[in-house]
Amino acid sequence: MTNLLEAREIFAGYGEMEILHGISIKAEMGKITCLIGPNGSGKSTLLATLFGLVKPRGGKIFFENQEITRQDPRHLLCRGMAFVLQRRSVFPQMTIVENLQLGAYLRRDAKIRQDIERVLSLFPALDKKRQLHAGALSGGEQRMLELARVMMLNPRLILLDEPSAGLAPKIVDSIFEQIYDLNQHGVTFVIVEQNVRKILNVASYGYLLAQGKIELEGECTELQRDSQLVKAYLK
Amino acid sequence: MYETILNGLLLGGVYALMAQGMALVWGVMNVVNIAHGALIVLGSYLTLWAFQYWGLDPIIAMPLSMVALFVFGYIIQRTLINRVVRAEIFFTLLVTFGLEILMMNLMAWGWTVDPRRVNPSYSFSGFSFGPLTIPLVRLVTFFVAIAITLLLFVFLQKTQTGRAIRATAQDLDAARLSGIPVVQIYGITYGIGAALAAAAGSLMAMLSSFTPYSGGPFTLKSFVICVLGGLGNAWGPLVGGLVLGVVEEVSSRWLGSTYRDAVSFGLLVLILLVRPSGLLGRRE
Ligand SMILES: Nc1ncnc2c1ncn2[C@@H]1O[C@H](COP(=O)(O)OP(=O)(O)OP(=O)(O)O)[C@@H](O)[C@H]1O
Ligand SMILES: [Mg+2]
Repeated sequence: MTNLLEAREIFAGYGEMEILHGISIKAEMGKITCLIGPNGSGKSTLLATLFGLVKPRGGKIFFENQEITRQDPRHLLCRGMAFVLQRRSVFPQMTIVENLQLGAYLRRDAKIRQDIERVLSLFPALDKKRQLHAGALSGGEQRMLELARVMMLNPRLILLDEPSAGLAPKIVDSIFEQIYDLNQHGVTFVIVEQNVRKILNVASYGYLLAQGKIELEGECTELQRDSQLVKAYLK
Repeated sequence: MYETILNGLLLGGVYALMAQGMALVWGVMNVVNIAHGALIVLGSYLTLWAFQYWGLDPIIAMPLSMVALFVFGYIIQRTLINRVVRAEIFFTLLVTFGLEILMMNLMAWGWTVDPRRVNPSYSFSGFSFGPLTIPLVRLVTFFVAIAITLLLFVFLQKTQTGRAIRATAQDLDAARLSGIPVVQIYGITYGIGAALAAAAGSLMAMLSSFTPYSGGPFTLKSFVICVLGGLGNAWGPLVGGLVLGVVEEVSSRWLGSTYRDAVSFGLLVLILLVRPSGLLGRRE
């Protein structure tokens, strides 16, 4: 049981305001770890801190047992970490293929073209529309494209912020299937999610965040059994 | 009349090139570059230099002054303009206006304020086109301008750096999260903007005389063209430039050339009243 990512006692915030008050989490290699919690509890801030976008005031972060605290996103991308934002973040006036080419920006090898085909074969929904502008895609397809784009660097760990937000239930299912699929291909995930019932089915370990602290953690099967407790915190 | 319109189109092609650099910088980093005209004039002086001292044809000198201004622009962006990227419009205007004044004064000091012009051997030949006669320089400058516009388009569409520039304009955070070094991209974008200004300056040097203070009208024209055509892609400024060229030629035939610069200003006011999003731009 190895931890791909580990954060110890993270303190972070914006300006004077401290949002995270000593948070420790681990993401086991090959598994899906989830973060749940009410609005404004600091879930997105935690992901941003893990990815070097928010600089922590205290605590340490490790990736593959090497310290990465305060490294910038470019370094982390090169090391095999990726981050998909909570809000939509495709390049709207570019085609799917161009979006994927940009996902490979840090690569200098000659195999990018082949890799676009490989990634598109993982995302059949996008394959058919490869020459369409990303702005013309549905919300679910844009989410898929964001995932596909980060896959161009072959990350071992993807931080994913609310993949299901704003999508119809049927689409949400297909997104989770896609995540499950990528996980089967060996990608480790840390996922922030509001749809607690769904994510506890997919993930193996979970943390419940409230007001910048971990209030509850455990195997997702246990958390499902404690659903009353989980609900109480989410109110 | 046809001759006037044709002349306007030929001039408009150069105007379009003149505006491309401003449109690029504006669209990508939300900086309205008041110093753009001064960069064009600097390009004219570099071309004049190469012509006087080395006897280089302006078209041959153009790539050299483009490279020089690319480097200059990159350094200016990293040291100065980067402080106001995506800042409030007031600060971007203040900084680039200051840069314009500084450049104007340095150019006046270095080259005096005497009007100059670059006249290569072919500058007084005409070209017959059926019943129409067109000055050869207009034809040459037009085709060179269009060629550079096409090169710009291909660069933005087909190279990874070009894509990164467009990506940075479309979603800054997403660009950063894809590993695009956005600060460097801003520097390159401003450098390209300056290089395009240099190209336009080389061509304008053959079309009309210039002084260190000619930059103002160039900035105004570029601004009008950006507003006319929009900022989204290289075609907007092309259309805007052709329109401005024709309007200017036609109106200066009716009104006399004294009102040349007033015409672009009038056009600007008209466009802002009728179509605030530009001719090609979508309505918000
Ligand atoms: N860029 C920022 N600058 C200042 N404060 C911020 C910033 N981003 C978030 N905050 C504040 O930090 C707190 C935590 O926000 P965060 O986005 O991390 O919560 P969240 O758990 O992701 O919420 P949600 O479920 O709504 O996405 C909130 O009070 C928010 O207002
Ligand atoms: Mg959030």
